[in-house]
Amino acid sequence: MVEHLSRERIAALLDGPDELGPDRAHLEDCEACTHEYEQMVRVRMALSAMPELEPPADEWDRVSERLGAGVDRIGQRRSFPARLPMRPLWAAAVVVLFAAGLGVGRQMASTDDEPPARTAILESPGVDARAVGSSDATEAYLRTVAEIERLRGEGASGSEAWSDPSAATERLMKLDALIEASREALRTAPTDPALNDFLFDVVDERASLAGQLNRSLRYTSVEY
Amino acid sequence: MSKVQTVGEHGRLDGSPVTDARLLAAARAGDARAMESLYREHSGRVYSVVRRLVGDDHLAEDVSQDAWVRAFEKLGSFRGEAAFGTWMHRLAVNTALNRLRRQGRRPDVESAAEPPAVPPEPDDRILNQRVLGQALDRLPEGYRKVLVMHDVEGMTHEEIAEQLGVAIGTSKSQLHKARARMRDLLSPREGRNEAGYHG
Repeated sequence: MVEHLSRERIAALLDGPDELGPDRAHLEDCEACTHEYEQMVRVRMALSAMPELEPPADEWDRVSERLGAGVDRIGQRRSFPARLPMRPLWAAAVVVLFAAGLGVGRQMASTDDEPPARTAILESPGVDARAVGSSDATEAYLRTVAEIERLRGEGASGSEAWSDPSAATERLMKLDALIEASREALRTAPTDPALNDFLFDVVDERASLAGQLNRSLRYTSVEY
Repeated sequence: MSKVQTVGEHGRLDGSPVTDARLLAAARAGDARAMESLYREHSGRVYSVVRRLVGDDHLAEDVSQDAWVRAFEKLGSFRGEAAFGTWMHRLAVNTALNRLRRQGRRPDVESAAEPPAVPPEPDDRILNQRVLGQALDRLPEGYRKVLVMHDVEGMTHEEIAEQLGVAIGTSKSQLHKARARMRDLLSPREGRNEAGYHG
């Protein structure tokens, strides 16, 4: 009488040669256990090849409903400055970070020859949110926000504004400066939601502008 | 001059599927269509893993919705270290496992539901996806979780152990028992059990 391997033991053999051990010899000699092993391999393969299931047809509608007043409202772009009063606990820290970090963008926008003041954040890594809120910092922050809004306004004025590749390229460089400044600020406050949102907005705008510029250059090259 | 991809409106880069990163940026900026595009791109995989983990249609619908709501609410915390699909899959698995924990551990016995209607030929029925799904649903919850995570989703024992809060050896042991039980469900007539048999 032959003692066969249990299914559990055979199941372990599916995990590779290391699991075979002394059962290898039995598996090679026993037709019944070899058959069982092969069947288990087929099940294993069938499991790994299971197709994706279709989610319920109305799932997205339900998700958007549960997200609040519907995704349509969520989808409205939010003004960056308008969000600050809703987060008083970290608003002060944001003021300092933007005054120091995003001020680079304002400087770059008006005086492109000046080097960016990117060291401002790096030199003050231990920002204490409770110690900020000076009028100078607030004023600098508000100027930065105003500059951001101005730049955005230009971007919203239509593609004609960027039909000149050199103007678009100049704008692209300014956006790059804002992106760099945002990233510098995020090194100090990596989880700050306002900073993260702002960075994504600027990256988004840059991608859009790069697309316009690319199309402009491509059409130009075709014409000539 | 190297070609630069241009960005079309929501979803395409010059006719190619837009990257998740691009959609993610738009979604985080509040773009509803980008959010829906992310959902459409990944909803099948999310629902599949949730459905197979929880083993019930109605519960799966609820848990899958929970996972997506959590994902969009937490989008700001997604730092981009991993692909969005990987992050979303992990979130879906976590949501499903948490729901099962909250519901309380069910006895590790097979479902009392009717056994799957199996075709007459054992070798054919194991490849029938519908029967496979039915057998999965009948597995005890502890077995099903490990089997789905390892053999269906391709997760490692290290990942499973971390997700379930168990030792790696426990994950392996559960997997082997789950496979054996799966074989029992698919082919009960051969008389072989966990203790082996004599023939």
